[in-house]
Amino acid sequence: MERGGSGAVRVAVVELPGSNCEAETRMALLAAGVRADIVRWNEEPRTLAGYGGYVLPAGFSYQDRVRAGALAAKETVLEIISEAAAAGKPVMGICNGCQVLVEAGLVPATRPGEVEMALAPNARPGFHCRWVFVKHTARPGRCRLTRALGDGEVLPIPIAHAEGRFRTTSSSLVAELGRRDQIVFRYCDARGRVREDPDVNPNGSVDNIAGLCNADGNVLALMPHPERAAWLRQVPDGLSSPWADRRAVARGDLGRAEAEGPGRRLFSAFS
Amino acid sequence: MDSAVVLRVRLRVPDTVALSAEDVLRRKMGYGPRVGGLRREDWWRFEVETDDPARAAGRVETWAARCTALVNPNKHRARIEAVKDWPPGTTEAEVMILVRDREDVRARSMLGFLTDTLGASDLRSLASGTLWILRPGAGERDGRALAEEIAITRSRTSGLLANPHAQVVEVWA
Repeated sequence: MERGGSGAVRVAVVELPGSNCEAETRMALLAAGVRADIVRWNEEPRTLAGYGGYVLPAGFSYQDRVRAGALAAKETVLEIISEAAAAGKPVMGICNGCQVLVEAGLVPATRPGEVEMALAPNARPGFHCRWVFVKHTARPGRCRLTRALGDGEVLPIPIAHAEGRFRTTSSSLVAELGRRDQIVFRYCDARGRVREDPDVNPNGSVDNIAGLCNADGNVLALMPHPERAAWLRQVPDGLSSPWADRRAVARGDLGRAEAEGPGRRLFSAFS
Repeated sequence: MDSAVVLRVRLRVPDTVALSAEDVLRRKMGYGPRVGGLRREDWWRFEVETDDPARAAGRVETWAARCTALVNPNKHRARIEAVKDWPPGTTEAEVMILVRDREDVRARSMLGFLTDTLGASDLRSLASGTLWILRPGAGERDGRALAEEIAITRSRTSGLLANPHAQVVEVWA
């Protein structure tokens, strides 16, 4: 186990077999002022349960065997996280972590414990790895982990997945999620327009869903990678975004380039 | 008239996916000896423009021999079965579980490759899936019920092989 950070809350970045973004996720938490440790999935349950929050980082848990997130969802650590979530602790799942939370029934959890959605293969087949835009579509404060984001705020952020398409067989669930304000992020264009266009909605998710929270708002599952957008230096050239303009100004200036990137505020919400 | 052919492809080396699934079912989901064994195969269903099933099988054999994404002879064993014989008779000791994506992007992509690259203009349609072969444990009286229970994921503690929101399941016992 690695330890570090200085904030009041200690967050566990849970390393599952096949996780590959635990280090940068922890760095993003530390940069946001949150104490964070990388904790292996098979750590003593009592140790795991002692954390004040949890992040399931990106990667390929169990090599995506059977289905992305399916095997990890059966691990004891998910039982512990499920109990922690029920007790109100904040939980975030990024990319593969998002798939695990959905397969474990922690999100959207309109009927707690039930698996209500799937992350299906992208509508355009293959592994898509690029920057996209997402819009914060939940009202500010609805989701504990996006409380620092403004109403309708647009973030440039990277995606990297082959199975990121939120879908459900329920004819009413998506409308219900909209009514309950659980659709935290939707894919949009650079101007914040939520459009059903493969260049905007990279995986064909229903209702352009990029991230969902649970009914209590303390569990967030999102397919994009905020840990890869936590520093200004990570924002690429050529994006049509004020973030890219700031990045251009910071070029060649390490001090400025180390400033906050668009994804960092999701981590600061843990403090 | 078209003839349909099923191509079944299994690994010649240990199948870590099937081994992991079996381990999770037995140890983490509490099935223990109720699950006697679990194997896995790739399943493809070809619809070929011919009324001669033997010719259809020959065409599929030709395509499979030229596309390692279907069959890689270094690691796979394949067999071709006429659809009229499908599902093949299961033994009392085995239950077959076919899991298919509701939106079969894998087959769509493969169909594009076979027609565009290999000139398979007589290939009318293609479907894909994963065929799981479950051997219920000794004393397990209802293999079909066990197969349905482990196949369809309803909660964190119930079901594993398919997420019904993205996949469909057929069981033959």
